[in-house]
Parts: sequence; structure tokens; C-alpha cells
Amino acid sequence: METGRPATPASSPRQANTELLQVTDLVQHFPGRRQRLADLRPMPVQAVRGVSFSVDTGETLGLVGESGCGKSTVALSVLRLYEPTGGRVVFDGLDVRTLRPSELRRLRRRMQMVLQDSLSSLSPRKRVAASLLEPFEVHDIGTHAERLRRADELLERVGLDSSFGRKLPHQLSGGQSQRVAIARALTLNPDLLILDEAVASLDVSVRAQIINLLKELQRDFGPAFLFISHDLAVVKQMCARIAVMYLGRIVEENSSAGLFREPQHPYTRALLSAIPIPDPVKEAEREQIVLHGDVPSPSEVPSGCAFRKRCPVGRDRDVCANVLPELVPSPAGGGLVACHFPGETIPEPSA
Amino acid sequence: MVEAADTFRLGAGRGSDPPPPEVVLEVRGLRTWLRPSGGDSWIQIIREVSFSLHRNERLAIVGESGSGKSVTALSITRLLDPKASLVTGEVWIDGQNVQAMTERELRTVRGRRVAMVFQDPMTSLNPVKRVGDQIADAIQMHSTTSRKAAYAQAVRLLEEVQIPAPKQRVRCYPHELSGGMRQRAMFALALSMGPDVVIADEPTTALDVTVQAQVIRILKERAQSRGAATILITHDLGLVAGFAETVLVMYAGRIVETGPTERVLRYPAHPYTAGLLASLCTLDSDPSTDLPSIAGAPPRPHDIPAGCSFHPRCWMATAKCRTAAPEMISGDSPADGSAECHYAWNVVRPDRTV
Repeated sequence: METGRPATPASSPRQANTELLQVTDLVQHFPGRRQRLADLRPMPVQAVRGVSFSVDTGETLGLVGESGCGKSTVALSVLRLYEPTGGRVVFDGLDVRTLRPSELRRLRRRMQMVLQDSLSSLSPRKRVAASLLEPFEVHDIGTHAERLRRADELLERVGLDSSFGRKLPHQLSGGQSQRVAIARALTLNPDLLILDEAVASLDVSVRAQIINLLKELQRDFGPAFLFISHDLAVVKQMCARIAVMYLGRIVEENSSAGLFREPQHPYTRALLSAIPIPDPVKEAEREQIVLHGDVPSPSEVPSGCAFRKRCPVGRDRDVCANVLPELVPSPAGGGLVACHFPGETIPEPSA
Repeated sequence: MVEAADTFRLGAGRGSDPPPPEVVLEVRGLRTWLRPSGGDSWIQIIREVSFSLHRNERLAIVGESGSGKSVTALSITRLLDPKASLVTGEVWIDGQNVQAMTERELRTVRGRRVAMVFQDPMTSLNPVKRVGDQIADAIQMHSTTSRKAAYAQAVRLLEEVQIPAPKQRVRCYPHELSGGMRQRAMFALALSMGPDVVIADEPTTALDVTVQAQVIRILKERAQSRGAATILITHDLGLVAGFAETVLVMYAGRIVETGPTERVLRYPAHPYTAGLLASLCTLDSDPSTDLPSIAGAPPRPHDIPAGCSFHPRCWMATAKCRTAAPEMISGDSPADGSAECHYAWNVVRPDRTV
């Protein structure tokens, strides 16, 4: 299944445990909107406030958080679909932020993305096969016959038969269009696949199929995944390593097993306790941490620890209000945590 | 408790008796056809739905997209466009037949007897009116309260649904509230007229997980304390566990399984329910193995398979399932509910299929 990527010498065969993507202190601000006429300099929206992580070849990193935490912005900044405000993004030894447009385009064929609403990323008037062939045309790869063969092959690989090539996007169900989007992302055999809420809008029975498919494709072709989701149970199924984001920063990072066994950050614990359990007995027995209020706006980030206003542990503590906690090795070992009082719990009087 | 769906048949209802007083809502042989805009062909969305809801009961209707769960809710309150919809069967609310009502009578039923909460509160709240005004309007529409008293009641309601600083928030416009607060304001509006039934259609789907937990808890507590029965419509079996006493599982426009929540989630009697439960990602599922999953996708309403509508996706299907539509089969005890499957109560979980 060679798609031909001879032009990029850096794409040596995928070896395990080599660093593929390294993100350091990534910052992404957007110009703020004026709230009132007198705001001459509106506060910028601090979507991403210094995020560092790395993804190894063939590995899956999960990026979890609620809406507005900046997880999708991270993905778009990594691909330089947004120009980052600060920080470094290194992909396979190349500094993404200094690349010229032609180099960037060559690089992007090695980093592909699948979005939540795949119907909107397929052209409504193009047949599926034409959408699948587009990446070849953009990057001028292969003869027409080769491209057609590859499109059929890909459709089959994602569990659709080649007759789907003649269909239009509106004739596809949600699961089918997500399969097509995945096939298209795999067309050029990328090294990194960014999956942004790729299974969020699917029905439960279909979601399980797509999760299994993604894992199988990773086993067979070996791309690394950056798996972005709000759903911790799905992330647990997909990822070996998980980073939890809150308001533009990573607050905890650990192996999947470690994170679920011993969550250190109070926010991670709250997220874990909010996952509904489809068993009335277990659901009634377990302890629920109900957080106060909502996620603050990224244009009005609280001082110190951004989580403190909703935090059951640090709400009234000075250090939390004044000092921004760094992401450092957790005292429990294994992972990283950005909290002044990692691992601490205060049973909250019922809210 | 929910009655078996085959107790009632279409047409049998003409001039039939109202349900006993402890049943606040009863749906008998509901069938709904919709006509997409511009088309002139009718598509049957609800093929047969019958159930009853007791006072103070918490019921969940679970199904995937296209199962007909939302259309069921809209049919009950007759909120579908009369030109583009056709509804047959009977709906009894508080001993009154909704199908026989005039538009004017209906308006007192909606809000006063049945209140609805939708997924996106932004589309149900008026964007150019303050939240407090909207609640006060609703209160005044159904009673002779003075404006001042209605406003004070609005503040109390917002406080009840745990909106912080309700005295200030009552003067906010919907866009000034967060998603979770807007949905809670919708609960306040829904509860303002003391309805007997609250129907919440995917009320937390647009909310974050941590907010979802709060909102569901508030809905449960508030409805209970005000003596309203609740119907939670959702695709999320996890939510059902913490909320409902009784579950209806819908598939392709029919109720395929009913029963007490604990029984349905622990010992599903229909293969579809078993498959849904098995394919859920939970904290207990093992990432090193594939998730069991149901093959294929839910059928589209104009393309319902013959026999049992689930048979093309079912790992237990036999020749009988392809031709004969199954009947509702009750469990050993009627309190266990029932399932519409030839092999009900003898279900094996699905293997992995891609």
C-alpha cells in the first residue's frame, strides 16, 4: 500500500518511541471583542496559554477538556491553520512556525485532520471518490489509474465497498461519512492524524464501530493520533496517554491507567466523577463531585490557578489565587500535574 | 408503570375510556407521519407507541437518532406543523383527550399541564426579552397574578434552579447567561406554571460534562419537589441510570423494550438494548480489546426492514425475524416490563463487528 512520498526524505520508516511532534509553550491569543464602546483595547481571548506536550511515532495522545478549554485551538495551531502567538511546534525535526508556505504544504500531507461534523468537510456536490482523490491532485501524486485504485482500496479499508465512491455526501449516514473522512485523511499515509471530536456526534452503536476502526487502522498503518475529545470514557478506550486541559492550559498529564487510578488534579477528579455510569446501582453508590458554576470565559481568565473559583480544594487559598501552578512531576509519581495541592481532597458539603 | 405496547391498537381508541386518575399521561397507539417540506409523500416516523406515565414518575425514553423519540414528544403536545404531519392514536393528559381539543384548549394544556424543555435553550428563549420578563409573562398568561408578584415569583424560581445571584440574573438577556444557566432558566420557565408533566428533550446534550451533572440533578430535584412527572428523552444510557425509574427503549419508531431502569440496564431483554449497553465506552471497558458493537446503522424511516426492524443488525436474527414482526413479550413478572423480540429475555451480547 505505497502511496509514494519520495519527496520527503525525513519520513524514514516509522520507528517506535521516537518523538514525532513536540509542542513547547504554545500560546494562541485572538483579538477580543469590544464589550462596550469605551473598550479601546479589548482584552484578548487567551485560548491557549502555554501548552507543552509531545506525541511519539505511532502513539495516541488524548487531549481532554470541556468546551472552550482550547483543545481544538491547539490542533489548529499545531497545523499552523492559526499562526501561533508564541511557543514552538516541532514536527519530525522541522520547526513548523518558520516554514515557508511551500514547505508547510509539503509537511501538511503528513499531518491530517478529521473533524466532528464530517459532512461539512466533504464538498456536498462532489462524489465521494472525487473527494478521496483530491489530496492526490493537490500534491500531484500518482497517475489517474493509480489514484482510482487507491480510492477503492481506501474505501474498502474503512469498511465501505467501492460503490460508495459514486455516492454524494448527503446519501451517507453519519457513520458512513465519518468513514469517508477517515479514508480521505489516510489517503496520503500521514504520520499524524488529528482527530477532533471525531466520534462525538455519532450514535452509540456506530461510535463503537468507528473507535474499533481507528484502532485497527493505527495497528495496520501506524500513524500517531492526537485524539481530542470531551468524553473521558472514549479517550480511555482510545489512548495510552492523556492530557487534561482547562482554560488554555494542561492541568494534568499521565498514562491512561495512572490517570484513572489516581487522578491528582481536582478538575480531573471532577471530570471523572461526572462520567455517567449506565448502571443504577453503581451510579447511586459512587461519589459525585459537583463543581460550582461554569467554565470562565477565556477573555477573563482568573489570576493564579484558573480553576480555583470552581475548585473544591483551593477556592479560599491565597497561593491558588496568586501563583500560577506549573505542570511538574506529580508527587504520586508517573504523571505531571499543575496544582498547588495535588492529590488533596476536601469532601464538599453538599452544594 | 409502563403497559405493554400491544395492549392498545389503532382505532380501538375511538370513544374509549380515560385512564385512571393516577395516570397523568397516557399514549395509546400513537402513529405519526411527517411530510418533508416540498414533498408530497408521507413518511411514517412513529410506527406504534403506547405507554403511560404515573404522577411523580420519572421516565426516560432512550433511542438513537431517527428512532422517533423527539417526534413522540412533539406528537404528545401536538406541536408538529398540522400541514406537514399526521398523528393518529390517543393521548390522554389528566383525563382529557388531547386529540379532541381545540387549539385554545391546547394552549392551556401546554405549559400548565405539560411543559417542554428542548436541547438548545437559545431557540426556546426569546433573545430580545429579559429572562425574568419571559417567566413573568408565562406566569401571568396562566393566572391573574400581578406583574410585581409574577416577577418576584420569577426570582424565586431562578433561585430554586440554583442560578447564582437570581435578583441580578432575572434582568439578564438570554445571551448573557452561560449554556448551563440558560438551560436552568428553561427549567424555571417550564416549572413556573406548576405542570403535571415536564418533557425534557436531550436537555444536556449541548452542555459540558461537569455542567450536565448539575443540570440533571436540578431537574430531578425540582420536578420531584413540585410534584411533576418527568420524561427525559436522551440517547445517553448513562444519564438514564441516575435519573429515571422506568425506561422505554425506542428503535425505528417503535418501543422495543420497557421496564424498570435497573432491570433494563442490568438484564436487558431485547438484543438492541444489550447491544447498546455493550457498545458504550465506560470506565470499566478494557482498552486492549475492541468494543463489542452493533453492525450497520439505524434504518432510515422510509426504509424500515420487514419483519423485525432490527434484524439486519441483529447477531441473533433467524429466518423468522426476517419475515414475522415480533410481539411484545412480558417478563416472568409483569413488573419486569416487556420486550418486542422473538427471542426476548434470552439475549446474548454481540461479538465484535466492524
